[in-house]
Amino acid sequence: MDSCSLFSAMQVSASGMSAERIRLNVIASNIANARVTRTAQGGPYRRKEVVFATLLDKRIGEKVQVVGILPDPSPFKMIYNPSHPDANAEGFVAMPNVDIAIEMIDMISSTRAYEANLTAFKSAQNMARKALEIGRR
Amino acid sequence: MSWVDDDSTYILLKKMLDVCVLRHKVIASNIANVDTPGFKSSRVIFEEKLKSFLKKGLNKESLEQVTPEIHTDQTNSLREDLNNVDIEKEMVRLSMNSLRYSIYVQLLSKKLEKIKAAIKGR
Amino acid sequence: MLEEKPVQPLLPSSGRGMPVKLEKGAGSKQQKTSFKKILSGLIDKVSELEKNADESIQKLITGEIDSIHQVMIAAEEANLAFHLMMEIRNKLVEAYKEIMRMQI
Repeated sequence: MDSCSLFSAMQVSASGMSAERIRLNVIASNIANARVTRTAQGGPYRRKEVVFATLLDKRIGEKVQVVGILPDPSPFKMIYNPSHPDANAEGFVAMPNVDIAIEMIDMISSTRAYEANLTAFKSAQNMARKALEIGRR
Repeated sequence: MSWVDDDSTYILLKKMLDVCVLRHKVIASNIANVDTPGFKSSRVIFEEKLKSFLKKGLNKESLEQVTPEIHTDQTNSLREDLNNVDIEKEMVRLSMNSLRYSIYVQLLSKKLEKIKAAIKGR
Repeated sequence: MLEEKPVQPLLPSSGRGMPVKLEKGAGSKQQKTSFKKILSGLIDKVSELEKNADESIQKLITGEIDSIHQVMIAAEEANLAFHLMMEIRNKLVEAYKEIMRMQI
């Protein structure tokens, strides 16, 4: 069996953890900027999304990686708030297209996935340690 | 040395260790790709194949012919991104596989200890 | 006159695969030769196993083999074979000493 390997599996799990961590950072950024109406580029903050893809490494296996962090094209939310400094002529403010409830759900899902990868990683470690006990008194 | 090579259970145990490591690798891939759009989960098939081979009796030759296979589940999931990884299932498989690896290591060690005792003992 | 002491069986359950179960005493050159053959056969096997174990270790280091259990098992098997050889050597030496005592 070639590359029947716990080390490769650990690298795959590590790639999972990295990817989910990036995703969590993006979610945190979305949440933090959920009410920003003035960005450096002008206009409200636009929600960001991560794109995951499988990276097939012949030796190691199917790692995952973030291939892009893309802006969410859905429209900004128009909220009626005439007293807001950035309100337009009709009294509407363009608010970021961030839905906090969705971000929270994503955050939980991403955290769970991160932990699952961590468990897999630790499991490989345990198996490796167990193998060291062969022949030991 | 002929003593170990003749013990087919010993050889089987060695093989099971390889199978467990392969299985762990596949499960780790599934877990890492739980959020990847379009990813389909895979699993390792071995024990069922082994069962049919064992009907002919356990021996060294028949063991060599049984190899583990990786099956990819192409069924569609209800998820929008068409990813069909069931994370709970994978976690259960992960845990059971890890336990089995430990068991096989123990059993193998016991066999080796027995031989060692036989060599040294009076 | 060589009087052989029977070597302990290695696997109580299966008597086959036992390379050196010596049976009746028969002091003759033929018996001595088969001792030699058995022993050198044993030594060859042991060095083969040792070589395998060393190769496995090398491959583990360079990353060619990633399997920890494979290397551990190879090392342990070589170890056991070596111990077996040592025990047989010890028993042969014992037997020889007894014979030497007898002649006097």
